[in-house]
Amino acid sequence: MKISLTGWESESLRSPDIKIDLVKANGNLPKVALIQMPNGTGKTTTLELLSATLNGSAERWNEEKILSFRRVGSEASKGHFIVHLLINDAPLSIQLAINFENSIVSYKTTYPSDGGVVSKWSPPPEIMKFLSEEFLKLFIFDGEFAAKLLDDANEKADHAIDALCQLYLVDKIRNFARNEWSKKSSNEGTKTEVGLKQKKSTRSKLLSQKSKIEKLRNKISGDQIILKKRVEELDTKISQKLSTNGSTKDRFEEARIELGKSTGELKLLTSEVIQAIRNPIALHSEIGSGLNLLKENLDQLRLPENTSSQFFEELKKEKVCICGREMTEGARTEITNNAHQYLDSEDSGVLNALKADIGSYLEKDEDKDLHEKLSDEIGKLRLSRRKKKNAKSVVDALEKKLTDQGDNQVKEWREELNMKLGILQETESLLKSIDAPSKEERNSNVVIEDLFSLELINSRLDHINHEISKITKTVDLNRKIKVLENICENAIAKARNKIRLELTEESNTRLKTVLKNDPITIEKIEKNIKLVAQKGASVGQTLSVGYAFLMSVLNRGKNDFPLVVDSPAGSIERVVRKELAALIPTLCHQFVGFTINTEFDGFVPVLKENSDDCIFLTLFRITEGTKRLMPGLPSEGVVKTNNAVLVSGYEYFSSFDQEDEDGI
Amino acid sequence: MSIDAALEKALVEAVQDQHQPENVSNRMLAWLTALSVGEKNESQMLEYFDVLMDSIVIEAPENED
Repeated sequence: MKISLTGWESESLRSPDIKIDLVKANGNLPKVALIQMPNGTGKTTTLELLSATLNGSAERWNEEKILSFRRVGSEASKGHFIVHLLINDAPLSIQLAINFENSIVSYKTTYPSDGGVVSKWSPPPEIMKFLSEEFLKLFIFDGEFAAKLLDDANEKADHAIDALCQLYLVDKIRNFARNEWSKKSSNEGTKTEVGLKQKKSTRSKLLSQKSKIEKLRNKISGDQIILKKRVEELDTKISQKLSTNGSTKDRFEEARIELGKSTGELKLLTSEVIQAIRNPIALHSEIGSGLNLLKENLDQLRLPENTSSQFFEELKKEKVCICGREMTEGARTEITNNAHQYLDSEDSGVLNALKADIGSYLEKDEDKDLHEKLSDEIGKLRLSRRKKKNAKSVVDALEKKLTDQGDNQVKEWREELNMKLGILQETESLLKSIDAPSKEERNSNVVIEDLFSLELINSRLDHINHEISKITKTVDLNRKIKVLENICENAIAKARNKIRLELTEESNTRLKTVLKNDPITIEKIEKNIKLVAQKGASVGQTLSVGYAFLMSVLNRGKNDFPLVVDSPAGSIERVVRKELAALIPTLCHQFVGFTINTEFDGFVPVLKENSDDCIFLTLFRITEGTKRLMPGLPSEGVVKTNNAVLVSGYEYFSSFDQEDEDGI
Repeated sequence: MSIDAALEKALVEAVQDQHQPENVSNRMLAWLTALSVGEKNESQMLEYFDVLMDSIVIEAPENED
C-alpha cells in the first residue's frame, strides 16, 4: 500500500484560504516538501484539519469545537478543508465541510477509481486502517507522539510496530477464522468433543446390537431348517403308520385324499374371493346404486381449459368439423362463442376421470349381480374350509385311535411333533420381528438393547453416522482453528520480539549519529521505548529518539506513507539538526515538514544538500503587518488569495528571515 | 509486496512448534501477502481460509469410540 499526500485546500476557515499543491510541474511528487508558515499563520490548525479530514473524526466534534475553526471576524457561514491523496497512484479526495450557522460537519469522498463521489467519509476499505486516529499519529508526527513513545503508560512503540510491520494482518486471519467458526458452529446442534463422544458411544452400542441380532438370526435360520426337517420326518412317520395299520388304512387314505382335495380347493376359492372383493360394487348392493347417484350428480363433463382450449382453436382451422359438417364461418363463430361452456379449471380433469371410472364399473357388470356372485363364492369358501376341517378331524381321530390302542410310538411322535411345531412358531415369530420393516420415529425412546428389527437398527445407524460425520467436521474445524490461533499468537509474539530487538539496534545506530555529542541509548523496546540509565529525556532528545525509532520502523515497513511533521527541527540543537536533516530524505518516500524560519539554520540547507528532490513553500497571511512584504515578492511562483500569499521557491524561503517573521 | 522478514520467519517457526506441515506456513504466507497488497472480499478470504484449513493436520483424540 502506498499513500501519498498531493495537497490540500482551505476555504473560509481559521487557516488561510489557500490551495497547496505538492505536485511538481513535471507531475511528480517531491521527496521532501517544506512549508514555511510563520507563527500565527494557522500551522497547528492546518495539521489538525488535515488529521480530522483524513480520519473522519470531525463528525464527533461538539459545537464549541466546530466554532473554534471559524475565522475571527469572518461572516462566512460555511467553510471547507479538502485533502488530496494518491492511493497506489489512484487519486482520492476527502472534503470536510463545516456549516457554522448550524454547527454541522459533513464529509464528501471522491475516489474515481472506485465509485466516484460519496456524500460521507468513505475512504476505500483497504486504507481505512491507515486512516484511523491511532495510525495517523504515526505519519502526522509531532513532539507529543515522540514523548508518548517513551511514556511507560503508553504502548505507542508496539502499536507502531504492529501497524508498520503488518503484524495486524495476522490478527485479520485469526479474526476471520474465529468468525467462520462462529458461523459454521451456530448451524449445528452438538458441536463439542463430549457430544461427539456420546454419539460415538451410541453408534458402538448399535453396532454391537446389530451383530448380536445378526448372529441370532443366523442361528434361528439354521435351527429352523433342522426343525422343519424333523417336523416333516415325524409327520411322514405318523402318516406311514396310519396308512399301514389295518384298522385305519382305508379310512386314512380316504381322509388323506379329501384333505388334499379340500386344501387345493380352499386355496383356489380364497384367491377368487380376494379378487372379487376388489370391486367395490360387489361388496354391497347399496354401493353400486350410491356410486351411480354420485356420477349423476357430478357436473356436466367439461375439459380442462389449460390443456383443451387449443383444441377448439385448431378445430376452427379445419375444413370439416368433427361432426362431419363443413366448417363454415358461421360454425367457426359458434365454436368461438360456445367453447367456454365446455372449458373449466384443471380440477375438471380429475372429475372427468372419476366419472369415467364409475361409468366403466357400472357398465361392465350391469347385467350381473356382483354382490350375489361374491356371496356365492364366500359360501363355497366356507364349505371348503369345513371339508378340510372334517378331513383333518378324521386323520386326528384315526391317530388317536391308534394311540388308544396302545401304539406309544405314534404318541411319542405326536408329542415331539407338537413340541417342534411350537418351537418353529416361536422362531418364526422371532424372525418376523428381526425382519420387520422400520416404522420407528427418528427420536423414539426405545432403548438400543430392545431393538430387534435389523432394518430399524440400520436406519438408526445411518442416522447416527450422518450426525457423527457432521459433528466430526465441526469439531475438527474447531481443533484446526485452535491450532491456527496458537500459530497466530506465537507468530505475532515471536515476530514482535525479533522486530523490537532489531529496531533497538537500528535506532541506537541512528542515535549515535544524530546525537553524537550527547549520546542517548535505547535499552529495549517493549510496549514503549526504555532508555539506558535514564527515565526521561530533554525535548530535543525525545524528538531524536522518536525520529530514530520512526525512521527504523518506517524503513522496514512494507507500506509507504507520507511523513508529515510539525516543526521537524524545532527544539533540536544545531548540531543535531544537521544530522537529522541528512537522514530525513532516507526516512520515507515523502516527507512534508511545517517549519518556522528559526528552524532554517543548520537544518534546511543540509536537507537541500542531501536531497535534490525538494520543494520549498512559504505561506503567510495578508495583514497590516505583512503589507510591507508585498513589494519584495518574486515575479514568479506567487499565489495570492483574499487573505494569504503562497510563494514557491528556495530563494524566497531562505530569505524569509527572522526580522520578517517578527513583523507578522 | 512481501511481508516483513521477521514475521515470515516467526510464522514458519510457530507452524513448526505446532508440528504442522510446511504447507501451513506456505498458505498462511500466501494469505498474508495477498492481504498486504489490499483488502480481500469475503469469497476470496474464504478461499484462503478453506485451503489453509485443509492443510492443518489434527491428531485424532484417544479412545475415539
